[in-house]
Amino acid sequence: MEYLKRTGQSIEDYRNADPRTQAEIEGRALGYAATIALEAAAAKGAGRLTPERTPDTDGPDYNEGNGPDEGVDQDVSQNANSQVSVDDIPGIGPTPGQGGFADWFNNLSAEEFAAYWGNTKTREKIQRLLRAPGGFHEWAMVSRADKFYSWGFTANDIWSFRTNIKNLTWINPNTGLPGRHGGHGSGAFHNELGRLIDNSKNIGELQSGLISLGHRWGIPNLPSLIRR
Amino acid sequence: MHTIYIGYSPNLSSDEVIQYFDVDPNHDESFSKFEQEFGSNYIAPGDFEVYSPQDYKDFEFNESFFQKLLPFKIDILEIKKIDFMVAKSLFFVKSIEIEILENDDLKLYGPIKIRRFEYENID
Repeated sequence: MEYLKRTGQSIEDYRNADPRTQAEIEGRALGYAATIALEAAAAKGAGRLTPERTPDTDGPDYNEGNGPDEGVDQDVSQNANSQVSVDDIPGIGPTPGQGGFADWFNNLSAEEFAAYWGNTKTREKIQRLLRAPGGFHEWAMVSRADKFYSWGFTANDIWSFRTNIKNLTWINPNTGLPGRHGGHGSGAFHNELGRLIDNSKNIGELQSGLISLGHRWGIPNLPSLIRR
Repeated sequence: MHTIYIGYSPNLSSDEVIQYFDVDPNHDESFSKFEQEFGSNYIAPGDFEVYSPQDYKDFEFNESFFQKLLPFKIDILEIKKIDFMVAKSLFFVKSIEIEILENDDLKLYGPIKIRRFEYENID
Protein backbone atom coordinates (compact mmCIF):
# COMPACT_ATOMS: atom_id res chain seq x y z
CA MET A 1 0.00 0.00 0.00
CA GLU A 2 2.81 2.37 0.87
CA TYR A 3 4.32 1.86 -2.59
CA LEU A 4 0.96 2.39 -4.31
CA LYS A 5 0.40 5.62 -2.36
CA ARG A 6 3.89 6.81 -3.18
CA THR A 7 3.41 6.19 -6.90
CA GLY A 8 -0.08 7.70 -7.04
CA GLN A 9 -1.76 4.38 -7.84
CA SER A 10 -4.84 2.93 -6.19
CA ILE A 11 -5.62 -0.59 -5.11
CA GLU A 12 -8.18 -0.61 -7.95
CA ASP A 13 -5.37 0.04 -10.45
CA TYR A 14 -3.58 -2.99 -9.05
CA ARG A 15 -6.69 -5.21 -9.09
CA ASN A 16 -7.59 -4.25 -12.65
CA ALA A 17 -4.09 -4.88 -13.99
CA ASP A 18 -3.16 -8.07 -15.85
CA PRO A 19 -1.12 -10.66 -13.93
CA ARG A 20 2.22 -9.53 -15.40
CA THR A 21 1.56 -5.89 -14.48
CA GLN A 22 0.45 -6.95 -11.03
CA ALA A 23 3.68 -8.87 -10.64
CA GLU A 24 5.61 -5.83 -11.83
CA ILE A 25 3.90 -3.65 -9.23
CA GLU A 26 4.61 -6.28 -6.57
CA GLY A 27 8.24 -6.42 -7.64
CA ARG A 28 8.62 -2.66 -7.47
CA ALA A 29 6.87 -2.58 -4.12
CA LEU A 30 9.26 -5.24 -2.85
CA GLY A 31 12.17 -3.26 -4.19
CA TYR A 32 10.86 -0.14 -2.50
CA ALA A 33 10.42 -1.97 0.78
CA ALA A 34 13.86 -3.54 0.47
CA THR A 35 15.41 -0.15 -0.23
CA ILE A 36 13.84 1.30 2.90
CA ALA A 37 14.96 -1.72 4.91
CA LEU A 38 18.49 -1.64 3.53
CA GLU A 39 18.84 2.07 4.14
CA ALA A 40 17.71 1.51 7.70
CA ALA A 41 20.15 -1.36 8.04
CA ALA A 42 22.94 0.70 6.53
CA ALA A 43 22.21 3.50 8.99
CA LYS A 44 22.77 1.00 11.78
CA GLY A 45 25.99 -0.21 10.18
CA ALA A 46 24.61 -3.52 9.02
CA GLY A 47 26.01 -4.71 5.74
CA ARG A 48 23.74 -7.51 4.75
CA LEU A 49 20.11 -8.38 4.36
CA THR A 50 19.70 -11.42 6.57
CA PRO A 51 22.00 -13.63 8.62
CA GLU A 52 24.24 -15.86 6.58
CA ARG A 53 23.32 -19.48 6.43
CA THR A 54 25.76 -22.25 7.04
CA PRO A 55 28.42 -21.60 4.43
CA ASP A 56 27.96 -23.59 1.27
CA THR A 57 30.25 -21.62 -0.95
CA ASP A 58 32.18 -24.67 -2.06
CA GLY A 59 29.14 -26.09 -3.81
CA PRO A 60 28.86 -27.09 -7.43
CA ASP A 61 30.84 -24.90 -9.78
CA TYR A 62 29.08 -24.40 -13.06
CA ASN A 63 28.57 -21.65 -15.54
CA GLU A 64 24.94 -21.86 -16.57
CA GLY A 65 23.96 -19.42 -19.21
CA ASN A 66 27.34 -18.74 -20.69
CA GLY A 67 29.47 -21.77 -20.17
CA PRO A 68 30.42 -24.46 -22.64
CA ASP A 69 27.85 -27.06 -23.58
CA GLU A 70 29.71 -29.64 -21.59
CA GLY A 71 28.61 -27.76 -18.49
CA VAL A 72 24.97 -27.81 -19.46
CA ASP A 73 24.10 -31.31 -20.43
CA GLN A 74 25.99 -33.15 -17.77
CA ASP A 75 24.90 -33.46 -14.20
CA VAL A 76 27.37 -31.16 -12.53
CA SER A 77 26.63 -32.45 -9.10
CA GLN A 78 29.59 -33.02 -6.87
CA ASN A 79 27.33 -33.91 -4.03
CA ALA A 80 26.67 -37.51 -3.13
CA ASN A 81 23.19 -36.60 -1.91
CA SER A 82 22.09 -35.10 -5.20
CA GLN A 83 20.14 -38.09 -6.50
CA VAL A 84 16.81 -36.30 -6.27
CA SER A 85 14.22 -35.81 -8.99
CA VAL A 86 11.90 -32.90 -9.59
CA ASP A 87 9.09 -35.01 -8.14
CA ASP A 88 11.08 -35.51 -4.98
CA ILE A 89 10.97 -31.86 -3.95
CA PRO A 90 8.62 -31.92 -0.99
CA GLY A 91 6.59 -28.84 -0.27
CA ILE A 92 7.83 -26.75 -3.16
CA GLY A 93 5.21 -24.25 -4.23
CA PRO A 94 4.28 -23.89 -7.89
CA THR A 95 4.72 -20.15 -8.23
CA PRO A 96 5.96 -17.28 -6.09
CA GLY A 97 3.30 -15.97 -3.81
CA GLN A 98 0.79 -18.60 -4.79
CA GLY A 99 2.07 -21.84 -3.42
CA GLY A 100 4.58 -21.04 -0.78
CA PHE A 101 7.70 -21.32 -2.89
CA ALA A 102 9.29 -18.46 -0.99
CA ASP A 103 8.61 -20.18 2.34
CA TRP A 104 9.99 -23.42 0.96
CA PHE A 105 13.13 -21.75 -0.36
CA ASN A 106 13.71 -19.69 2.76
CA ASN A 107 13.41 -22.64 5.11
CA LEU A 108 15.76 -25.02 3.31
CA SER A 109 18.70 -26.20 5.32
CA ALA A 110 22.13 -25.74 3.77
CA GLU A 111 22.32 -29.48 3.17
CA GLU A 112 18.91 -29.59 1.49
CA PHE A 113 19.75 -26.62 -0.69
CA ALA A 114 23.05 -28.20 -1.74
CA ALA A 115 21.30 -31.43 -2.67
CA TYR A 116 18.64 -29.73 -4.79
CA TRP A 117 21.09 -27.29 -6.36
CA GLY A 118 23.54 -30.05 -7.16
CA ASN A 119 21.03 -31.82 -9.37
CA THR A 120 20.46 -30.31 -12.80
CA LYS A 121 16.71 -30.94 -12.91
CA THR A 122 15.85 -29.74 -9.43
CA ARG A 123 18.16 -26.75 -9.83
CA GLU A 124 16.36 -25.79 -13.03
CA LYS A 125 13.01 -26.07 -11.28
CA ILE A 126 14.22 -23.72 -8.55
CA GLN A 127 15.59 -21.35 -11.20
CA ARG A 128 12.31 -21.31 -13.10
CA LEU A 129 10.35 -20.52 -9.95
CA LEU A 130 12.76 -17.76 -9.00
CA ARG A 131 12.37 -16.28 -12.51
CA ALA A 132 8.56 -16.50 -12.48
CA PRO A 133 6.41 -14.74 -13.58
CA GLY A 134 9.00 -13.60 -16.12
CA GLY A 135 9.62 -10.18 -17.56
CA PHE A 136 12.30 -9.25 -15.06
CA HIS A 137 16.06 -9.12 -14.91
CA GLU A 138 17.32 -10.45 -11.59
CA TRP A 139 20.44 -8.57 -10.53
CA ALA A 140 20.91 -11.33 -7.97
CA MET A 141 21.23 -13.71 -10.88
CA VAL A 142 19.08 -16.78 -10.55
CA SER A 143 21.92 -18.89 -11.94
CA ARG A 144 23.95 -17.77 -8.91
CA ALA A 145 21.14 -18.31 -6.38
CA ASP A 146 23.43 -20.68 -4.50
CA LYS A 147 25.79 -17.81 -3.72
CA PHE A 148 22.96 -15.52 -2.67
CA TYR A 149 21.50 -18.32 -0.57
CA SER A 150 24.86 -18.68 1.19
CA TRP A 151 24.79 -14.93 1.87
CA GLY A 152 21.46 -15.35 3.61
CA PHE A 153 19.24 -14.02 0.86
CA THR A 154 15.61 -15.06 0.96
CA ALA A 155 13.58 -15.57 -2.21
CA ASN A 156 12.00 -12.17 -1.58
CA ASP A 157 15.47 -10.61 -1.31
CA ILE A 158 16.31 -12.01 -4.76
CA TRP A 159 13.03 -10.70 -6.17
CA SER A 160 13.65 -7.28 -4.66
CA PHE A 161 16.73 -6.91 -6.91
CA ARG A 162 14.71 -7.01 -10.14
CA THR A 163 14.28 -4.63 -13.04
CA ASN A 164 11.60 -4.86 -15.72
CA ILE A 165 13.53 -6.09 -18.74
CA LYS A 166 11.88 -3.48 -20.95
CA ASN A 167 13.60 -0.83 -18.86
CA LEU A 168 17.05 -2.39 -19.07
CA THR A 169 18.89 -0.91 -22.04
CA TRP A 170 22.56 -0.20 -22.57
CA ILE A 171 25.36 0.66 -24.94
CA ASN A 172 27.44 -2.46 -25.42
CA PRO A 173 30.96 -1.37 -24.44
CA ASN A 174 32.44 -4.07 -26.69
CA THR A 175 30.77 -2.83 -29.90
CA GLY A 176 29.49 0.66 -29.15
CA LEU A 177 26.05 -0.41 -30.39
CA PRO A 178 22.81 0.01 -28.43
CA GLY A 179 21.36 -3.10 -26.89
CA ARG A 180 19.10 -4.31 -24.19
CA HIS A 181 18.15 -7.25 -22.03
CA GLY A 182 17.47 -10.11 -24.40
CA GLY A 183 18.94 -8.10 -27.27
CA HIS A 184 22.40 -7.12 -28.46
CA GLY A 185 25.01 -7.61 -25.74
CA SER A 186 22.74 -9.65 -23.49
CA GLY A 187 25.11 -12.62 -23.46
CA ALA A 188 28.14 -10.48 -22.66
CA PHE A 189 26.24 -8.54 -20.02
CA HIS A 190 25.06 -11.67 -18.20
CA ASN A 191 28.54 -13.14 -18.47
CA GLU A 192 30.08 -10.02 -16.94
CA LEU A 193 27.45 -9.84 -14.19
CA GLY A 194 27.93 -13.52 -13.43
CA ARG A 195 31.70 -13.10 -13.08
CA LEU A 196 31.16 -10.06 -10.87
CA ILE A 197 28.93 -12.08 -8.56
CA ASP A 198 31.37 -15.00 -8.61
CA ASN A 199 34.25 -12.72 -7.63
CA SER A 200 32.39 -10.74 -4.95
CA LYS A 201 33.15 -11.76 -1.40
CA ASN A 202 30.13 -9.98 0.08
CA ILE A 203 27.13 -7.85 -0.82
CA GLY A 204 29.13 -4.64 -0.35
CA GLU A 205 31.65 -5.70 -2.97
CA LEU A 206 28.85 -6.70 -5.28
CA GLN A 207 27.12 -3.35 -4.88
CA SER A 208 30.33 -1.49 -5.72
CA GLY A 209 30.92 -3.73 -8.71
CA LEU A 210 27.39 -3.22 -9.95
CA ILE A 211 27.86 0.54 -9.97
CA SER A 212 31.00 0.12 -12.08
CA LEU A 213 29.21 -2.31 -14.37
CA GLY A 214 26.34 0.16 -14.74
CA HIS A 215 28.74 2.93 -15.73
CA ARG A 216 30.60 0.68 -18.14
CA TRP A 217 27.40 -0.31 -19.91
CA GLY A 218 25.76 3.11 -19.74
CA ILE A 219 22.85 1.80 -17.73
CA PRO A 220 21.04 4.79 -16.25
CA ASN A 221 18.33 2.98 -14.31
CA LEU A 222 20.12 0.82 -11.77
CA PRO A 223 17.81 -0.04 -8.88
CA SER A 224 18.11 2.45 -6.05
CA LEU A 225 19.03 -0.47 -3.84
CA ILE A 226 22.48 -0.61 -5.39
CA ARG A 227 22.86 3.07 -6.17
CA ARG A 228 23.12 4.05 -2.52
CA MET B 1 32.38 -25.52 -28.23
CA HIS B 2 28.79 -24.40 -28.19
CA THR B 3 25.73 -25.47 -30.11
CA ILE B 4 23.67 -22.57 -31.36
CA TYR B 5 20.82 -21.95 -33.76
CA ILE B 6 20.14 -18.76 -35.66
CA GLY B 7 16.67 -17.90 -36.80
CA TYR B 8 13.97 -15.40 -37.42
CA SER B 9 10.31 -14.70 -36.88
CA PRO B 10 8.11 -13.53 -39.74
CA ASN B 11 5.42 -12.24 -37.42
CA LEU B 12 6.77 -11.60 -33.90
CA SER B 13 8.49 -8.42 -32.79
CA SER B 14 11.76 -8.57 -30.88
CA ASP B 15 9.85 -7.91 -27.65
CA GLU B 16 7.58 -10.85 -28.37
CA VAL B 17 10.46 -13.19 -29.19
CA ILE B 18 12.28 -12.15 -26.01
CA GLN B 19 9.10 -13.02 -24.13
CA TYR B 20 9.02 -16.33 -26.02
CA PHE B 21 12.31 -17.28 -24.34
CA ASP B 22 11.23 -16.08 -20.90
CA VAL B 23 9.34 -18.21 -18.40
CA ASP B 24 5.67 -18.52 -19.31
CA PRO B 25 3.50 -17.43 -16.35
CA ASN B 26 0.64 -19.53 -17.72
CA HIS B 27 2.62 -22.77 -17.76
CA ASP B 28 2.33 -25.03 -14.71
CA GLU B 29 6.08 -25.67 -14.63
CA SER B 30 7.12 -22.17 -15.73
CA PHE B 31 8.58 -23.50 -18.97
CA SER B 32 9.14 -20.90 -21.65
CA LYS B 33 7.07 -20.92 -24.81
CA PHE B 34 10.24 -21.88 -26.66
CA GLU B 35 10.81 -24.90 -24.44
CA GLN B 36 7.17 -25.94 -24.83
CA GLU B 37 7.09 -25.55 -28.60
CA PHE B 38 10.58 -26.68 -29.61
CA GLY B 39 11.26 -29.21 -26.87
CA SER B 40 14.49 -27.48 -25.93
CA ASN B 41 16.45 -27.63 -22.73
CA TYR B 42 16.24 -24.77 -20.23
CA ILE B 43 17.17 -21.48 -21.87
CA ALA B 44 18.81 -19.10 -19.41
CA PRO B 45 18.98 -15.32 -19.79
CA GLY B 46 22.16 -14.68 -21.75
CA ASP B 47 21.69 -17.81 -23.86
CA PHE B 48 19.88 -15.91 -26.60
CA GLU B 49 19.78 -12.51 -28.23
CA VAL B 50 16.99 -11.04 -30.35
CA TYR B 51 17.32 -8.16 -32.79
CA SER B 52 14.85 -6.28 -34.92
CA PRO B 53 15.26 -3.74 -37.72
CA GLN B 54 12.85 -1.60 -35.68
CA ASP B 55 15.46 -1.45 -32.92
CA TYR B 56 18.12 -0.18 -35.34
CA LYS B 57 16.35 2.32 -37.54
CA ASP B 58 19.55 4.33 -37.98
CA PHE B 59 21.39 1.35 -39.40
CA GLU B 60 21.07 -0.66 -42.56
CA PHE B 61 19.80 -3.93 -41.18
CA ASN B 62 21.21 -6.58 -43.51
CA GLU B 63 23.24 -9.79 -43.31
CA SER B 64 26.49 -8.08 -42.41
CA PHE B 65 24.87 -5.96 -39.69
CA PHE B 66 23.24 -9.07 -38.19
CA GLN B 67 26.68 -10.70 -38.28
CA LYS B 68 28.08 -7.69 -36.41
CA LEU B 69 25.41 -7.94 -33.72
CA LEU B 70 26.07 -11.61 -33.01
CA PRO B 71 28.55 -12.31 -30.19
CA PHE B 72 30.40 -15.03 -32.09
CA LYS B 73 32.05 -15.58 -35.43
CA ILE B 74 29.85 -17.22 -38.03
CA ASP B 75 30.15 -17.76 -41.77
CA ILE B 76 28.07 -15.25 -43.72
CA LEU B 77 26.75 -18.16 -45.76
CA GLU B 78 24.92 -19.42 -42.68
CA ILE B 79 23.31 -16.00 -42.25
CA LYS B 80 22.30 -15.85 -45.90
CA LYS B 81 19.92 -18.76 -45.26
CA ILE B 82 17.65 -16.28 -43.48
CA ASP B 83 15.15 -14.44 -45.64
CA PHE B 84 15.68 -10.86 -44.48
CA MET B 85 12.74 -9.71 -46.59
CA VAL B 86 10.24 -11.55 -44.40
CA ALA B 87 12.05 -11.44 -41.06
CA LYS B 88 10.39 -9.18 -38.52
CA SER B 89 12.97 -10.11 -35.90
CA LEU B 90 16.11 -12.24 -35.85
CA PHE B 91 17.84 -14.12 -33.10
CA PHE B 92 20.30 -16.74 -31.99
CA VAL B 93 19.76 -19.23 -29.22
CA LYS B 94 22.22 -21.51 -27.53
CA SER B 95 20.65 -24.88 -27.00
CA ILE B 96 21.69 -28.48 -27.08
CA GLU B 97 18.24 -30.00 -27.52
CA ILE B 98 15.82 -28.92 -30.21
CA GLU B 99 13.05 -31.25 -31.40
CA ILE B 100 11.69 -29.16 -34.27
CA LEU B 101 13.12 -26.34 -36.35
CA GLU B 102 10.01 -24.44 -37.29
CA ASN B 103 6.56 -23.44 -36.13
CA ASP B 104 4.19 -20.64 -37.12
CA ASP B 105 6.20 -18.08 -35.16
CA LEU B 106 9.86 -19.04 -35.44
CA LYS B 107 12.17 -20.63 -37.99
CA LEU B 108 15.55 -21.97 -36.87
CA TYR B 109 18.72 -22.89 -38.76
CA GLY B 110 21.20 -25.24 -37.21
CA PRO B 111 22.64 -26.77 -35.20
CA ILE B 112 25.78 -24.73 -35.72
CA LYS B 113 28.91 -25.36 -33.69
CA ILE B 114 30.87 -22.31 -32.60
CA ARG B 115 34.20 -22.32 -30.82
CA ARG B 116 33.45 -19.61 -28.29
CA PHE B 117 31.50 -16.47 -27.58
CA GLU B 118 33.52 -13.30 -27.97
CA TYR B 119 33.05 -12.37 -24.31
CA GLU B 120 34.43 -15.63 -22.98
CA ASN B 121 37.81 -15.72 -21.29
CA ILE B 122 37.95 -11.95 -20.97
CA ASP B 123 39.30 -10.66 -17.66
